[in-house]
Amino acid sequence: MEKSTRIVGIVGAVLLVAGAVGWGIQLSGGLLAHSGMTNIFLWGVMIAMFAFLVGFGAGSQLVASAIWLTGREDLRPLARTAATWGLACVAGAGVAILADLGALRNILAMIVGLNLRSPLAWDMIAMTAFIVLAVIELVAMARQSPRTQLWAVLAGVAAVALQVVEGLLFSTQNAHSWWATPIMPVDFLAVAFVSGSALMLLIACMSGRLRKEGAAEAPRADHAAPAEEGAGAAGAVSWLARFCAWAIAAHLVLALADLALVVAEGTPQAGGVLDVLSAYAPLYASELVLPAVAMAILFSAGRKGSRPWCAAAAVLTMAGILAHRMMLLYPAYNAPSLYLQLSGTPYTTGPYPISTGRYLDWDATFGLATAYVPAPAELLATLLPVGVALLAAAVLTWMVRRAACPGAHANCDL
Amino acid sequence: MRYAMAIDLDRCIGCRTCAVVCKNFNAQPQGIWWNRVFTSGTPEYDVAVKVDGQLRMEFVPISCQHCTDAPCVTACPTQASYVDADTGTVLIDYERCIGCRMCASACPYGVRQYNWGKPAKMVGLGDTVYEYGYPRDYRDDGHLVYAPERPEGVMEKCTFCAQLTSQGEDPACCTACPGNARIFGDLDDASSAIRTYLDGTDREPFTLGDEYHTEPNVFYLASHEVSQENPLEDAADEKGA
Ligand code: SF4
Ligand code: SF4
Ligand code: SF4
Repeated sequence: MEKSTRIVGIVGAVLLVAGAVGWGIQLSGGLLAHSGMTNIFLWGVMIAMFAFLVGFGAGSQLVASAIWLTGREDLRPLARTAATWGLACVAGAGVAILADLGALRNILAMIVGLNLRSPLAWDMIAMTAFIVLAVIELVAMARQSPRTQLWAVLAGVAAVALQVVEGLLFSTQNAHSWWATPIMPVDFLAVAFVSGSALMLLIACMSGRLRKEGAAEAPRADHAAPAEEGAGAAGAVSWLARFCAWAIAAHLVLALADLALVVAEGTPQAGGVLDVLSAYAPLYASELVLPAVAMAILFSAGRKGSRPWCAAAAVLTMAGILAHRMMLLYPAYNAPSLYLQLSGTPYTTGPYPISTGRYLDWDATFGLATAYVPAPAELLATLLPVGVALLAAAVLTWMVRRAACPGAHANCDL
Repeated sequence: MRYAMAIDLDRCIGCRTCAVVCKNFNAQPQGIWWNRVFTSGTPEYDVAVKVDGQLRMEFVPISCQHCTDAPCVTACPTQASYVDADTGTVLIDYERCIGCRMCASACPYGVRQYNWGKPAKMVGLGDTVYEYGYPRDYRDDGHLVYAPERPEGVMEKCTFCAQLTSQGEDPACCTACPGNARIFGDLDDASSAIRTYLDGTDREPFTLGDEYHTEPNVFYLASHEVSQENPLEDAADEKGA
């Protein structure tokens, strides 16, 4: 196993164990006892991590599919890496959802009584379909099957479906102005392109593997011109830099359009959203400014394939997307949905309080908003899906490489 | 049959008896409230708002609205949340609920209550735990929709007191309300208490959160204050005339 793969695997295993400990603590006083969530703020950092990882998973797969669709033979090793991380991140996201369920033992109930009108049911269906197709695609890639392109396209379609369904899961909730916009599903897709390309860019910048595989694989590919040593990696970096920069541009346009819709809405609910946005201004600014800076870097230094600059841009982008996922939650849950009118008058008087369900923990029985801060155990538990994703990525990378390059030890580093 | 409730804001005196009785009768754990009463216009309780130069204090009790087009039922991935076909009541099967909180997130009325941690019984004086609430499980067509000992990690909310109404009794909050502000019954039955009440008033019933198009089955009647003239000002006007 290559050293970098081994490091990813070891880090993943450590995070997995730490996360499992956090999750155990979280459940020790009863289901989700140790968490900062309330009956006002119903989903917390674990759901943010779920959306974060799904974006990276679907997005990485979209990078892989794009490479196969554009026929870039020189980028085939990158496609394999992208497909591997796509599957690993979605597996991590699946673990996040399971960890967030109050009653894990009842998961069978979802299968037995699946409600096909529920976006969450479709999310699970889309995720399962994606995982199945991604596994088949990886097997095809590892065996260098002539049908690989077909499976890569199908897995790409599943990735698009997964992100759109994910967006619909939020945008169909009319109770939350912040989510109930037609832009949400489209932006979920854009964020996947951003996340996947940023992750691949970081890997391409940090890994010597792609260069080696580019050289090893190119002569084997049908009709491929012999690739120069290193051409694959340099090409991958500048290709990904452009890919990521345009994806960020699309995402920022959609995010600002979403904001404009809320501003134009003019309802008390939308006013509540704007109040929360200003209360969390630093976090909201990070989700816009960090990717914007990254985009500027990628459009300039990135085009020339500068690895340090591209790596920095990828990290900034990922931090911005993490902020974006957290900001999915604050303006949705902390902006009240029910405003009353004084009966018989046109006067909207104000929002109506909700029972927090956390009287025992914080003496707070009713409230309009809760300043959600994840509990330490809850934060620790989010390492569980991240660990699963990293460990799965390392194991899958090792398995695929072993199958794809039997005997070619010099180039495959087994 | 279509169960519904009317709440006459003119009769509601804001005593919160309905909220407390609901909590007690339905054995709600600590921190859980299926029914709550606040004054319109303030996040605090018992505060008046000034409208057109007059102070007005209106208490609005809110529990599950038993929506005809219930977003919580659509959102629930396991069909744990469902509409009872016989009565139109929205119920939750505790044995099917996986605690995903999707329903509560989709409900615009904030009435769904998730049990975080272990559901804890209320404590009495000297920290003694006491038994309270309807003492037996209640199943609707096999669905466990009420249990005095709450399972961990499930969602709960108003059931229109299914364990009572299935036996032809009124819900606990309606029986207990000292102002008779809550009237329950079958909207499809012209002789039911709710139809008689609504038909007998000249006030148009209204529903909450109409912007969400959920078609609630809890109807409110406006308080009369709105149509009253300020008697002091009237007297002053008459004197001056
Ligand atoms: S009020 Fe909320 S919980 Fe009750 S039926 Fe309507 S959406 Fe569902
Ligand atoms: S928390 Fe329970 S009732 Fe609510 S959507 Fe999930 S499974 Fe359904
Ligand atoms: S009908 Fe029963 S469950 Fe619903 S608010 Fe009244 S007392 Fe509570």
